[in-house]
Amino acid sequence: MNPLRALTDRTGAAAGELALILPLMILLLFGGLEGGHFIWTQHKLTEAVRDGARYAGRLEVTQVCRDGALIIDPARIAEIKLLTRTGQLEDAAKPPLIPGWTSDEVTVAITCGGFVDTGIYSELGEAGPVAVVAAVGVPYPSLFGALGIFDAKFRMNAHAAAPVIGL
Amino acid sequence: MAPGLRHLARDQGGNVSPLYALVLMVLIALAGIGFDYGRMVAMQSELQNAVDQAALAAATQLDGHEDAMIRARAAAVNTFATATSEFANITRIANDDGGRTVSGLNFTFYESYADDAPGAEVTSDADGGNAHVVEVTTTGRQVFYALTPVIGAISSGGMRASAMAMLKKAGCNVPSIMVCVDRSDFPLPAEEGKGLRMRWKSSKDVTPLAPGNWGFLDIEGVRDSQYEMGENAAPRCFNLENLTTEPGFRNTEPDALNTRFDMPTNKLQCQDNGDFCPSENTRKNYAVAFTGTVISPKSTLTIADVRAALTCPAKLPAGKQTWVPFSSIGVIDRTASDSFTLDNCFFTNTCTYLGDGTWDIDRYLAGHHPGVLASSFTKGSRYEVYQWEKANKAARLGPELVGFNPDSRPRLSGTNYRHSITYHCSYSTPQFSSPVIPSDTQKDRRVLTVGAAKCEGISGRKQVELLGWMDVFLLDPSDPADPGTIRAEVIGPALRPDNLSGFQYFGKDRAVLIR
Repeated sequence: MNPLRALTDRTGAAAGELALILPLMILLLFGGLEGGHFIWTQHKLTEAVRDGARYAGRLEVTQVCRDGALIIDPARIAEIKLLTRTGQLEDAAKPPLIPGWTSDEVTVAITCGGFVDTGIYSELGEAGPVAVVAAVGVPYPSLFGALGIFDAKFRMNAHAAAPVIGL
Repeated sequence: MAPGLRHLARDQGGNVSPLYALVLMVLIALAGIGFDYGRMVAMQSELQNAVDQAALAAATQLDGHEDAMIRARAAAVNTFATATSEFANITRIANDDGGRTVSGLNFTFYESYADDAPGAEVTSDADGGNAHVVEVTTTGRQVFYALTPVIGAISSGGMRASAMAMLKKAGCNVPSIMVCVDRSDFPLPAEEGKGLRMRWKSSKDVTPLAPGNWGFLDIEGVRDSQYEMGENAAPRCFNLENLTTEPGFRNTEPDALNTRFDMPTNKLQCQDNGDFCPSENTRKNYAVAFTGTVISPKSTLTIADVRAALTCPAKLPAGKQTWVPFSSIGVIDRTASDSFTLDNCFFTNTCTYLGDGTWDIDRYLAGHHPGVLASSFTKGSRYEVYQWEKANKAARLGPELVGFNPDSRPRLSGTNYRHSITYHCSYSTPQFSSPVIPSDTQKDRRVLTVGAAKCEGISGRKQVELLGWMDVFLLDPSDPADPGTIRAEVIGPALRPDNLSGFQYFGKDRAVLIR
């Protein structure tokens, strides 16, 4: 075959053009999936800390703080963390909502007297507590991190604050 | 047309590239819609979280007081929607110039919520007492799109989230007893030690309820046992919305109340769960009669003579014994023998239902604990003395010979008279059944938790508003001559059996999201 013919041969031109546009297509396709997945993960994180904060907000105030000091049972804190991380309380070994989310990456901070001392708290005689449940430095479980499109070391945060009201 | 251009127009080689350039816009837009739509949803949930917490926070302040709306706004905004607050709820997705904090909340208050719709709006802060439902709405936050601008869509526009919350009142672990008070800030710790005379209004009396009247509450789904006054508070919760009074006196209730003072009846015996059981200290104006003989040179005996000659058995002997009221004992020194009395002002008629805390402690101590000074008590309240007596039952709650019925015809034999008398001994520790000792789950049986209600001016079966729950210390059993009156002393806002704050234990004000 004459090598010069290959330069003028028009058969397979479409395949050649596909090869040209493929990287951009892949970037767009996978980037779109990755971006959507990232937002979805952030959304799950937001919902998770919100659930945790609302659960913390329903704890009995008198079992959380007394005379301004935090007296909460560590088991309750563990429950809040479990609920935040897995969305349930029954099974401590259940996989987290976001793969790889560990218990250390949930913080529960309860501030006694952080809220107001009026309204229903006037009966309590001190300001009500505020619970802040936060997801700190949760590694983003990248879909295509191996392809190098997205930074696989990306960390995600979310937090939600709720007044502790009791049930 | 030049041959080159004509050639180009006919040339089909490379025709994918311009097509791709056109389609690329659409492809970017498609990927972008997915991505940006996800961001909108995520921001929506951030905003929803912020308003939910703000609405719950605001609802905790809707307690029916005048400044409720002002407090509600301040509580929600200052704590959860101010950038400088460490508890601010934030949005990470919104990339407009509104900042991270979800601030700029709008509050709307409504009087009620029924049939999935809020009632009349409360617009004036001065009417805060009527505000029972709060709706919190965020100002619009925007997401500026990342990819969809290629087809001209720039921003999500202002997205809002709103939440509606209210306080649901429930009562827990309490008997269905209320007493009318004349102030809306009841019960206060400052009322501690004040005497409280609660009177039942007979059903024939058609005048409206007045402060000091007590009554029962009609609690939905809870059976009237007719013996509520003697029962231990059952661990249950009930709805306190639309609470109404329950008119009609029940003659069984005084008997039930008296079981707390070691006065069981055949029907009302001490139960395992604490119902109808006595307290450890049951000093009351009742005694048990014994017969005895006193030989004395005197023809008329005094209590001192009888005390010198006869003693009370340390324990009540077996057999059928009944309580004799002090009022039917012939010779008795009521000043020295009577149990706790109401505040002095009740006897001078200078107070109506709530006393001032000044009672005749000196008389009481001189009669029952000679040598003990009132100054040795920090508060000097009846409840404090009661607790002090309980702390050493053997020394402080022994039987006392309080009086006797004299022999109408004492027989003279030699120089001495022989008196056959009936003498009366008071027993201040339970003799008829074992006492219930207060524990972390059991309140003292002489402490009753009653609801303080704003019921002035209403009569019959009417809706009533409970202000709070308070503990009262029962001073004495029900008087047969005046069975509807309960004499008590205010201890203060109700505490749990383990003496922790009764917050959210008796009256539960649950802030709940409605929608």
